[in-house]
Amino acid sequence: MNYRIRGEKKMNVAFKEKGEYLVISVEDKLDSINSKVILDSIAEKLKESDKNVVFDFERLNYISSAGLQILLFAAKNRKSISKEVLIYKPNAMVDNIIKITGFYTFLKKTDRI
Amino acid sequence: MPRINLLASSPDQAMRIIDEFCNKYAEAKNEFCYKTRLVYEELITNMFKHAVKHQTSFVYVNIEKSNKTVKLNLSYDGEKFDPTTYKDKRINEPFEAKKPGGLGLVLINGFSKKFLYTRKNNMNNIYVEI
Repeated sequence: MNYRIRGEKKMNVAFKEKGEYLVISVEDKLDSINSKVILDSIAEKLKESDKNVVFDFERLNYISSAGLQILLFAAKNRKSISKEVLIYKPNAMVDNIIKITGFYTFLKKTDRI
Repeated sequence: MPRINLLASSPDQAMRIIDEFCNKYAEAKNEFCYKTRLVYEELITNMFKHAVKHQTSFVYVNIEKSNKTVKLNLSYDGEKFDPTTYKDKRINEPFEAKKPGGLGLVLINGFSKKFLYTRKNNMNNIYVEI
């Protein structure tokens, strides 16, 4: 599923099931400009899925507090069905932001998908 | 100095100011620009969400880069609205109690060297050094 934001900039979110995991790949930016449309698409997908979630951030360059809200939403959603949310390959800054906001208390990092 | 009309512009339009700044310095993907964009985004989002409730209608933006420091000034009208005094205790809340919102100021404080507020001539002023 792809979304085009502002015409010139492309922001992708893609879903792929792999075993017990739903892999959500997000590219480029996850910010206040695109977080609403991304959140809506993820919320819709999670309704259909009972799997653990892995956010594949290998191609994510930037996240702000608006993007963190999506992680919080996903973590709460999965916890309600006793599943977990993992983070795969965040870059150094994204990793630091997740860390200083305390989100690693309820999110785990994984080094493989 | 760019002027953002909070009542007629969108956050998307306001973000173009910082994206142009980052493009100008060709640092759009490095850590320095990341921090600047992040702090700017959190402040501007705060303006659109909260300052407007205090009769703020416009924001003047001034960004300067010198050596390894970015100086960001936001001047805005309306009633006194001082985001620097807001202490978010929700960061320490247990996961189950966490609610959306409030993380922006945690990030601003985390990535800025200075985050100051003054009020002069009926204008609010925020000064951030990154």
